[in-house]
Amino acid sequence: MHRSRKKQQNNILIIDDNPDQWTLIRAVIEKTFPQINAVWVATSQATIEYLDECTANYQALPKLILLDLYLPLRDNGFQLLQELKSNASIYKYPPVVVLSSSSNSTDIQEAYVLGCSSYLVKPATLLQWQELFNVVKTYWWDTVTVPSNR
Amino acid sequence: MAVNSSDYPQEANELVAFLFNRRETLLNNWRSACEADPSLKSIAVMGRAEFNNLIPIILDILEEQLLGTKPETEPAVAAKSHGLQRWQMSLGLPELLKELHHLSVILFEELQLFRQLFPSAEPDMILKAQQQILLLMNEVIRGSVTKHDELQRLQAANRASKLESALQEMEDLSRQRGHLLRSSSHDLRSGLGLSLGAASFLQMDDLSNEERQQYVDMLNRNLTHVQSMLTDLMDLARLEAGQEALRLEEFDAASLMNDLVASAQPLAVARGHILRADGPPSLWVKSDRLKVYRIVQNLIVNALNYMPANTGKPGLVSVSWVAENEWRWGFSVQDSGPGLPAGLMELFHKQLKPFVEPVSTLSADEAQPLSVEPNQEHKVTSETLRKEVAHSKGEGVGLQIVKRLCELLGASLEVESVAGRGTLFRARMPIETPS
Repeated sequence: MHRSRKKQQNNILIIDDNPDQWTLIRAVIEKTFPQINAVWVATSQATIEYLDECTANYQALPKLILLDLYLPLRDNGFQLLQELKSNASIYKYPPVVVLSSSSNSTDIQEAYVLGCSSYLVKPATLLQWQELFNVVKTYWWDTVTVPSNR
Repeated sequence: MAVNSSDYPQEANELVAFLFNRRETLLNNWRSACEADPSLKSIAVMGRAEFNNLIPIILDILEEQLLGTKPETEPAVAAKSHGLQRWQMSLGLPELLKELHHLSVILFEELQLFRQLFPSAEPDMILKAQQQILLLMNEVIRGSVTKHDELQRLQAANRASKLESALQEMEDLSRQRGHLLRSSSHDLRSGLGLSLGAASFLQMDDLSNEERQQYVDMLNRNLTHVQSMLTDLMDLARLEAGQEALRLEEFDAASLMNDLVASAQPLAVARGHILRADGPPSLWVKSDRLKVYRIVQNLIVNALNYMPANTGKPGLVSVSWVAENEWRWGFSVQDSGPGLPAGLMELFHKQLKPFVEPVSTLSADEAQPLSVEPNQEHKVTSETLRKEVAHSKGEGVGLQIVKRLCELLGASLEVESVAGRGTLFRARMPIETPS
């Protein structure tokens, strides 16, 4: 279990309904962050199923969740965020970082109200994506202390 | 009643007999007094029975009270009925008070006349009769006014709730509008972001041919998507700005439908669906050919994209057209998709325009509670369109365009949907569109 936990602690869960987006994110993670294991789900339902599966198999939860809001409607993303962060949720940890194309102030505010840990606006170019994942790595992997996972 | 005239039974009888004898005169005098009053114009249109209404019963009550017997009818009950009738006759509260004031005056004049004609009458009895008239008239006024006021408040509440729901609908509309805009701008931004991403990823040094092709495809796919979204948004903006003019011409709608269906066949095949066209071989109409074309095209593309693609079980889209009679024709696009979400159909029955009561407070129609006229046209509201967005990105804009184009052509747009079985869009319009 120890080995698998160590591996699992490098899991990052990407929630995005656009396969093209996943292609880009996977490529940039492979390039800048090879030791990390990225898992992709496209819907709210698949997210919960994946987390349930982790629990059922005694696997650690992902260290970080990157959540796209428009899945395809913002309400879908908000509902998922609310579900994950609700008092009754068994998935209150891990931290959820919203990663959305939207820089709409209402969206940003709502996301923080519902309990996201950070809000990142999706970059465009490869260079910007690399910078973003460097920051994510430096902050969430090398800087902050998070609750021990299981 | 604390005061009565039964202490003087003989004289009370005489007064009652006098008043009864004078009743017709009294009522006529009352009417004359009211008609002479310039603020009581609506009295003039009332018939005699309408005008007198329950006042004879009030006079009966007065007789019984003067005689010291318990009245058969409660004065307040009769007064309320009078208030209701006057309300129904569109008499306002100030007028109601005025006419009752005239009645009091006439009654006191009759009492005065009685004294003049019968000087031997016991002054105490006269005084008490006067008190009784005063008390009764107070009760009549209170009863009538209570009822009138009750009705007025009811109507005010009614009107307020109508205005409130109109306001609510306006707010809903603007919220949906904001939603459509935010959603569109997000989709655009996201499409552009992916295009830029694909373009910059293409510049990586160590790309395999496969990866290179993948990014080129991604770039093309997203640029095409952005372009079509922009075209739709600009179309919609032009339509909403009223910049689209009607270009009427005579054309064969049947051949237009056939051409359209033929050109959409590749998309149907690609998504594993069956697309059918059915209708008379020829149907000549005078309308805007291009706009009809765009409506049908949007609906067909919408239907084809709406059904789950390549599931092994082909979806069916049927396009049909018909001349209903000499002056109307229509076409429909029906799919076998999942149908619109539950509870959505009722929204089609909602009017887009808020209903605001058109009459002023004191107009003649006021007394009749106005009901909202149900609209026979099942219009596609923005609410529906907002929900449509849930199925596929950008789709809301396409249906908005259809709706605006239909408005421009004077066409009605109806939607029927059964969950799990399919959705039907039907547009009907004049064969000769007036220019």
